[in-house]
Amino acid sequence: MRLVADTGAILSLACSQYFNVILDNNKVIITKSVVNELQEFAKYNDILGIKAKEILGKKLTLKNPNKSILINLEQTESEVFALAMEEKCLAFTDDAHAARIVYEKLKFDTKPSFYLLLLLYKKRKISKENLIKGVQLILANRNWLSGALWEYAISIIEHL
Amino acid sequence: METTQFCLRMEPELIRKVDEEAEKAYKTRTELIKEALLRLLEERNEKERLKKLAAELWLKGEISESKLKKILTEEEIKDIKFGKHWIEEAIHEIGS
Repeated sequence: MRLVADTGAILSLACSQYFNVILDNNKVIITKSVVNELQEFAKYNDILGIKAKEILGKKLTLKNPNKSILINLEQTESEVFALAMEEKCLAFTDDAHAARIVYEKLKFDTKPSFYLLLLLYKKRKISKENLIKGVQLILANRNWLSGALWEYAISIIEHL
Repeated sequence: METTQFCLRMEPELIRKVDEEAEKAYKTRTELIKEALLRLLEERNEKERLKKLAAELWLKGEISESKLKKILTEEEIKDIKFGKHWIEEAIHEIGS
């Protein structure tokens, strides 16, 4: 599957133990502004900085949208969504606010990063236990909103 | 713990106030600024912890929206409501 990921989503995926499997099974596209944000993260030696360096060391497809979209979001988010629309592929973000705004304004659907782990589970490449572990690893480094939402996701996944 | 030195630019009036406070507390300028920053971050973390707790309780159906409104802003409530549906849809897609 081809997909465009924003900074938060790609960092989340890098925090999961299945990052390389996800990269092997999907064509992940990022924009220049995502690279710039990752470079900012990489300046610090904390977990997100280390993961940002790891992502920057991978061979990901780099593309920019031809046209920008007028939406009240940060430039990186707007570019990621614009590119996904142009490429006619899924956009991944872990920012529920950005996901809501782009849906309300443009009726454009996005997916949270753990959706890729769910796909691995559906294809029986990972067990439910490892799916939950993967979401928990993503959860460890998120803000209060994503934290609460991902905990909720785990509670539903447990009943799958 | 490993520390990093960096340059901080402040107005002379603020530096004087920082030094006066540091002297009163028998601390260095660095110690005082570091303590103030840690306190600020702790306050932020506490606010975030409360927001997360309220959101979790609402998601579990354990508190009403009116109670949620006491802790989260209108925009944040819109985000959490959207997020709930967003996540349920993503998981439902896989489950179906």
